[in-house]
Amino acid sequence: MTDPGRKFGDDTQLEVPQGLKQDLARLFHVSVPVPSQVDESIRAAARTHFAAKKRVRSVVRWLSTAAAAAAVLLVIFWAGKLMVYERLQASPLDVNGDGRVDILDAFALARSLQAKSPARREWDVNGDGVVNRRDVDVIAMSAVRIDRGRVR
Amino acid sequence: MKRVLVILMIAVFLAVSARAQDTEGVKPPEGAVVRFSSVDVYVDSGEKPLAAYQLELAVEVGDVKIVGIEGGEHAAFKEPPYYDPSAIRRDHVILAAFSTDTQLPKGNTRVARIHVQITGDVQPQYAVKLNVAASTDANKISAKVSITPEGGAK
Repeated sequence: MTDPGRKFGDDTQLEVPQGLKQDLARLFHVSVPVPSQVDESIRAAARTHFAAKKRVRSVVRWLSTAAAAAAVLLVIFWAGKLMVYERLQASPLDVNGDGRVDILDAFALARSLQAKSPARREWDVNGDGVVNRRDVDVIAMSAVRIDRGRVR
Repeated sequence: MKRVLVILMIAVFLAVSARAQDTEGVKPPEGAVVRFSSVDVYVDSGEKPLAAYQLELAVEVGDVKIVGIEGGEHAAFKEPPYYDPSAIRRDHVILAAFSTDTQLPKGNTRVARIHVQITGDVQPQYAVKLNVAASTDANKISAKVSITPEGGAK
């Protein structure tokens, strides 16, 4: 009769028999061979993923550089435009439109007055409402102002 | 009323001090040799009639002050040229004139005479530059400018 408290005898062999061990190993050892194409495709996918990220970063960098350059160009353009505008605004005395005020502007206006050509409103440089010899004098006096430069 | 008086007094004070400074500008140092001379300015327009010119003259060497400016020899430029009145008592002037006359000078013609006050024994030297010259049609022409200081060679 066996003792109900004892399931196994002292001499029970707890080791798995070698045959069973081999059978179990054969049953549960699943060797799944991964083809090299799969490996390669995974690597390619990873490369593509990181390359895309890199491309985005470089595009962002390029865009920010381009934006900065555009901003600088815009400022230069505006400044240049402003300078030209100011120059045009500040030179109603440039009668002959050669970009500078000299005696030839006074001469041009004097000739125009002498020829009785229609006077342009902007030639009324002293603002007295008429274009006459006084405007010629204003232009000539502006041409000879000595703060315009020195001989060198 | 008091405020008006104060403003008037300040204005008088400023005017007097400005006048004093002007006088100082002309007044030569005590004991210095002072003489007056003139510089003739010529423009040579070659074969083309000279209708307009603008030039600059500056003193390069010497203590020279411009004291007066008169016109040239030809009737077309007889009147004194345009110049900045503040050039008087200074050593730099821009002269310019034009004429709408039909009779205009050709070749080398004296366009202006500049009277100067020279202080000291140093022989003055001048720099002169023609800014622009034009003929009757107001088109620019090539011309030469020269000066004859104190009746010397051009």
